Amino acid sequence: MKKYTLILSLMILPLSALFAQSDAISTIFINYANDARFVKVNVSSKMFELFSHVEGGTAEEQEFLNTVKNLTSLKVLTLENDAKSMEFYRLSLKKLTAPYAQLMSVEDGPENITFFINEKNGVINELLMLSGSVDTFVILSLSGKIDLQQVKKLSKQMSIGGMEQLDKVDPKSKVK
Amino acid sequence: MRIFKSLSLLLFLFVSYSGQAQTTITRQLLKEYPNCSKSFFYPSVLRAMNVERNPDLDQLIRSIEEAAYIQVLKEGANVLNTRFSEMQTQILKDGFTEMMSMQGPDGKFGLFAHGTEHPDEFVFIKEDAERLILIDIQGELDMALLMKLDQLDLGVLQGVFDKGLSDE
Repeated sequence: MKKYTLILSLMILPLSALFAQSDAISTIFINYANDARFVKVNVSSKMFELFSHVEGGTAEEQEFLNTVKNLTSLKVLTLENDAKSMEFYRLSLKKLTAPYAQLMSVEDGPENITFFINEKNGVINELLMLSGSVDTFVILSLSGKIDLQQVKKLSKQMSIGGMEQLDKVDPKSKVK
Repeated sequence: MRIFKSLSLLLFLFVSYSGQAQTTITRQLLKEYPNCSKSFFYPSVLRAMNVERNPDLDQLIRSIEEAAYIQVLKEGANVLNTRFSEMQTQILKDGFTEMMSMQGPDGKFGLFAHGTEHPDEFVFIKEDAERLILIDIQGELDMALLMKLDQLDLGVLQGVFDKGLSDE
């Protein structure tokens, strides 16, 4: 019996570690998702999966489809007209630990933007963006096989509030 | 010209009013709220309602075969706080997959699709302080275009249906 318990424990341990890795961002999303002040947008993997079966009619459409075909999920949480926006931004920054690595940060006037990536074996699996200003806080998570050069284009191709900030991604940035 | 358009629309609505309610949730809403606003549309009418001739919108609706639009005004109707989530559950139970959702202080919406590679049935539900809306679409939607609409504003599509109701 002890033997089976040990085997089971050994099987579960790596899974626990896997869940623990995504705990930070999951917690942030879950906490804020229950906060009625936030606008939550979720684009499911099914939506992105469909894009892989669509053929673009124009060059512009085809470019968009090429950009999104490797994506699996998009989540955006936005808080607007709230004096505690910067507080949310700073708090979220503190919560982000490994496996998220800071890619770059931008101070654009009163606005602070920090990009994180979750990278494994040279492949970026997730791009996370935190944006905070005096009255607005945005947290955006893009999952899939991320190409930063392509992601930059999404800022113009997908009209979702907060995504325009992706234009500030510098594809040449190195993890800090 | 306006009279002709209105007459055409009325004639169309009269002819198509008996349009089949497509999904379980559509049938449920029609039964539950018999006094709700309801309309059934076909492509020619949808195109006619795109009065501003928005080319993106034309492209978005060109493969729609039939659409049902139901609007329940909360005032006077017994709409429970749980109705929206119950609708979500029913739609998923009917084999639809959630494509995207949005929830915020002003309301919430969900877009669901039925089918694998090329979905041919869509349900859009929305709730705000004043109303509950369901759009049941038979036919295809241009997915690439959908993502490009301003602020993922499925309200653009809803606006077309609203126009139909106001003309009615």
